[in-house]
Amino acid sequence: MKKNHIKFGLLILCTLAFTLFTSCNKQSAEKAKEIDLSIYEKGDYFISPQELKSLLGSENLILLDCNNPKIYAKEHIKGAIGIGFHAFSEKVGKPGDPGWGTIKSKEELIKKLISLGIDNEKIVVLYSDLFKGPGADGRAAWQLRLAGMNNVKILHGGSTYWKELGYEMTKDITMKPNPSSSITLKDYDKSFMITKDELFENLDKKIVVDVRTKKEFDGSQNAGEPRGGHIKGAKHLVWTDLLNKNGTLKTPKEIEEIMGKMGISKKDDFTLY
Amino acid sequence: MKYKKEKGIKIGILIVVIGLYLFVPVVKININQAIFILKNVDVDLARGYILGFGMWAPVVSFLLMILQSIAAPLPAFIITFANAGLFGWVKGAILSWTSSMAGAALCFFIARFYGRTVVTKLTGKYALDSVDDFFDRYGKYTILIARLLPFISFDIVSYAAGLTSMSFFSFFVATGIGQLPATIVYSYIGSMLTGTTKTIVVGLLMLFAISTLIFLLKKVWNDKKEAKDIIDLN
Repeated sequence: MKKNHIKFGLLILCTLAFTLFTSCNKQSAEKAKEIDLSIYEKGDYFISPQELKSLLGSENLILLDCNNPKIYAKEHIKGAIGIGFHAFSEKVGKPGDPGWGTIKSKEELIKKLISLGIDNEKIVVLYSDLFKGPGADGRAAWQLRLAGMNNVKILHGGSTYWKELGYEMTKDITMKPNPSSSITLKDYDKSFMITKDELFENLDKKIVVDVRTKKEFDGSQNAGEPRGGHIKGAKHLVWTDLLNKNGTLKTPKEIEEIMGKMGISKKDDFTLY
Repeated sequence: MKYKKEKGIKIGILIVVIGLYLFVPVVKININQAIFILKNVDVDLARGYILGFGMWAPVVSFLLMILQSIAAPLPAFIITFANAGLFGWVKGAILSWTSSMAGAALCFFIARFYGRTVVTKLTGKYALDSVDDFFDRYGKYTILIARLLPFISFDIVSYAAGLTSMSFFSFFVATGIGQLPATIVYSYIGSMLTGTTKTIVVGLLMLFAISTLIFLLKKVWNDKKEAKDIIDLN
């Protein structure tokens, strides 16, 4: 009986200590210095959480949540529209069918963007929880940038870092956006993509990096892959290895080191999948 | 002897089903892909998946709904929305409703076929008997209430009902009636269902559920009173 009392007391103490500790942490995080994104060559692809916070509620912001809708329903940043993992991809058929999961044609993409209220002027910010999904925000931003949209940004550190800063998440329902009047897109910039056939023909000449999980690299088929395994000769690097534990980017120097260890330098032409 | 034979059949069916999944790659890949599609909770993705099967689309949708019923945590409303988008809301609603009924029936029979002995061992005979008694009398209302409440798992109710001695017929009728409002509303509004409309729909369903509950409580109370009156007379 007495033992239980002591245990209980300890539990209370621990809880107190923990709450104090975390609240101190929160405060220090609030005062955390804004990370300088200009050290990155393409730093303008990102928006800092501080800047996004100051834009929340603005008419000029379209905020897109690229988490699994289940997570979106539990919590999201105020005003975000949940678009899931595959909003801008071709989805007719199943994984492995020709064209399934490739980027939508320009015409189809325009339709989709207009329905989300996106034009060439507003700032479009994408985010996801970087450790609970495939980083669909990154893929969507890559695609929209290739279509010539320079007003598209990724939230630096995703909702992971946003929460670490103590910024608010909500369950509040976001109203459906009003369609935008028009949007102009360029043809996709083909220099940042390679087709299946092109890669297959040059397989012995190309550096290929598989950025999926170790399990998938080793043959797991849990993400709907009709065939398990990896492309012959591919190196392996999990995409989250380029991130810190809180979802922010590692420094350019660290990233160069990681890639260097794989025998890849800035000058190299390589393929990721 | 008879008991042994029955046990053999039960284990045999299990082995065949698991064997099919493990050793027939086509079955395994297709089931895994279907689960992957549903896990994404993405209506467009599910719609594209069903559409990809061409003329087999309604059959695939039907099978998808049954898969969803057996594997408890997969979302059914995604299939309902996708059906409405693909086949129009009336045909979509009919397809969603019939396939979810088939799924419910399957769960009910799985529980009845495999569960009784196992569950009796787990809960003790007396507890199950008292539930049985309640289900015997009021089962259809209980099912109806459970079906109307959107946050109660469809599949678990079907399994639970299969474990009691309630008749399949009353289970099936209650399920059918209980599923109707939600299926029609979901199909009609489809993926237009956002914040405020969703609240209205949930509110309406709750209203149905509460009225059924009040009716049930009244019935229970009257039955008790009748029983008491009989005892008093004696």
